[in-house]
Amino acid sequence: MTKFIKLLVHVMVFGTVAIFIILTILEKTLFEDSETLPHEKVTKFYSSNRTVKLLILGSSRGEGDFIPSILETNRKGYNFGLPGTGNKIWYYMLLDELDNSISRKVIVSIDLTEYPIQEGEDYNYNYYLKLPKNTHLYASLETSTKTKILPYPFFYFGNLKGFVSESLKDYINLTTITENGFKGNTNVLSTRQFETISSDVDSINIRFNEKLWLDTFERISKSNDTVYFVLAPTFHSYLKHLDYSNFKNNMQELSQKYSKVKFYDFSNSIHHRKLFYDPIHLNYNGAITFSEMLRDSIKKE
Amino acid sequence: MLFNSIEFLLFLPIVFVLYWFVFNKKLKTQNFIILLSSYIFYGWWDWRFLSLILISTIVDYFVGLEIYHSTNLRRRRIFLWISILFNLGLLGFFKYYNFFIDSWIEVLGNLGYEVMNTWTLNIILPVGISFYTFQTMSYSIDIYRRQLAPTRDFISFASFVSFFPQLVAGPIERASNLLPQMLTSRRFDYEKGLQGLFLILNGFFRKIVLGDGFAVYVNNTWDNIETSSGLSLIIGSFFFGLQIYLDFSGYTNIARGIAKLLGFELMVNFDRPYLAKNINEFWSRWHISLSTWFRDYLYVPLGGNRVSQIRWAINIGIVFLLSGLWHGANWTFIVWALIHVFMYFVDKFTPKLSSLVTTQLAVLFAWIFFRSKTVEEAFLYLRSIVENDFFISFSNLLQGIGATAMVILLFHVFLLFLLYKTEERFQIFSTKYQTLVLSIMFTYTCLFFEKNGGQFIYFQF
Repeated sequence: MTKFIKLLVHVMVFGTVAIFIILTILEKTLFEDSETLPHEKVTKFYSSNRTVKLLILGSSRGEGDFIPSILETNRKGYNFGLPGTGNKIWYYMLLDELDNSISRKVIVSIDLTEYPIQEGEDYNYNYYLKLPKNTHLYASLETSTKTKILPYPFFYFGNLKGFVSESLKDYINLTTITENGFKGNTNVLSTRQFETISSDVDSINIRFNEKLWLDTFERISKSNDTVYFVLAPTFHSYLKHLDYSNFKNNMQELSQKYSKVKFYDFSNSIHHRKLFYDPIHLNYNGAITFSEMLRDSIKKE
Repeated sequence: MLFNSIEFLLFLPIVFVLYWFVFNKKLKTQNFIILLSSYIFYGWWDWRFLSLILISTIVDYFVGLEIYHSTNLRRRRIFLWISILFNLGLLGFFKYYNFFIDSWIEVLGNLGYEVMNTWTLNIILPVGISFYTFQTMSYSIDIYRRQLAPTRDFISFASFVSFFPQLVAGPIERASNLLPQMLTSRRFDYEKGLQGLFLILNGFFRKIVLGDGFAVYVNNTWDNIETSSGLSLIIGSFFFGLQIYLDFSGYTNIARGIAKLLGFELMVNFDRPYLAKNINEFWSRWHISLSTWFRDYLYVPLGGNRVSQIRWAINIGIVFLLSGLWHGANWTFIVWALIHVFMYFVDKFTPKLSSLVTTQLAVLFAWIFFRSKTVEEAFLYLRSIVENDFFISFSNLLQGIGATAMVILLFHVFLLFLLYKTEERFQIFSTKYQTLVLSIMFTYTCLFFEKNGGQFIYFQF
């Protein structure tokens, strides 16, 4: 038995040391430099210094439709779009951004979901692994989410496979192009896949939560930032299911009262199917076209 | 409790310490620890179903004694049938009741008799019921055949029925193998412990690193049958073949490894089934404990191959159909079994057609039915292989899991090859090299461990 226990201890010690070494190497070489790993993006957002002049916030549309180098020359823009987060995380990230004294441009990609600012579930808790505690985003999290966030390096336990796979995409993925947080698909879904997504959607009535938007615009007006709320292009076969005229009118009307708030509706601006990855996400070529359109519109202001 | 859960990673060392260090003086207390830990292990999932195991244990314990001590053949036969009917009754009610009611109502409906379905019940399938009922039935049958003497030690018998390493997904142990081990005093043996540790880490490696890796692609393919390319679907079915093998053989290895740590030997359940050159050989390599169970307790009593060719063919059909139904109350398993029956006859009557390639293609084809939720879904899958664009584009082929995941997966296939090579030679490695191999497997398993990792496929049976 003593020999076996000795063997067990050796295996555990060697294994644990190896795990720490591998984690440190991965952390330093892969994760920290990752353009697209969500929790590293969140970390970058909260540590972003004054050299970043343009922040892009949003969900997967934010991440895949807005190219920072086109929207902000001198490569001082960064895309903090987080896939799968709808309209929740960007809202609290925006509040955190408005609290600091740095003056910069913020582009927010609004998803056309039922409530374009919404409270609710925390999505994937992995996004918050390195999130500072003194933030609006952290305060917004459910208790159950907070308890799942373990200290380094334990938070990697049970999650590492996904992190490695995701961060490697920056280097060897054949189907996406990444740049300063932007991740664009270079391909288009097959016709059948494309049509399935378009036809599967139910009619959605986009609602305008006046109180929340008013409060947000007030905060913006008191900050040093200028915020551009943008509805990114959606393919017409999908867009026809969305009733967002009330939301759009209210946003246009309200934003005109605030000099630091701009609202752009590009939802029906691109009609070429080859520029979309799927009906609600542009592909890389579409993102170039759209980013140039948005840049020109902002310049005109 | 799942093997690949944090609870189990805490549970096993506690059991190990109690078993070998605290209660190691008497065999009875050691067996009691096994029984207690087995009930905790099972009750962790749903404590209410412990009563089923306990009742099954009590019935077969007394039935076994009655069969053995009775000299009256009729009485012995009656008690044997009590055991068989009780166990099959449990299985039938929990696993097949709704299936047969639904099927019956459908048949009546097709005949023009519309029947209101007020008979189906909201029944939860108790985990492992197919395994432990078969195990206890074999106990009664072996005693009836005078191949085994029953034990009067209830704790040991209950430990045999509920032995936690193999309780929920096998191997389906024979009483003649496991029960004598329960009744013999055990001492810790380094070589056995070493093999056990290797098997446990090997099993986790198969499940967590390899099986779950393939599962990502497989699940994505089955979730998007209509929109996947023909090639993606073919790869998906191929990967499912690998997934189910790695998942199930991984579980078996963990079970055998834990048993070895506790001083037991469980039977080998897999022997490289994808190297089989015909279906008969496949079944002598795949889920061996189930196929030999059906051979010994069904095929041979039906007359085996010592009967006319027609009767033999019927026997084979019955064995395979029941084997299919054993996996679940679903027509998909029946079709899966029929494909194997068909291949069995092809092997028998046109052996020249049998080869590694044709056998494995047939196995792969049958897996599509096994994996699908319904027969209609399986046919949709097959139709989509032909009707969907075959290639679409390389990038679309990869979109399900991403190119990186595919690269990692292919690397894992290479690791699987290395694993086989290591399995063959592990025993002859020096201690230092053994420690290195175990450390690498431990490291790899920890790094790939997923909090919400999938449960073992065979848990559902």
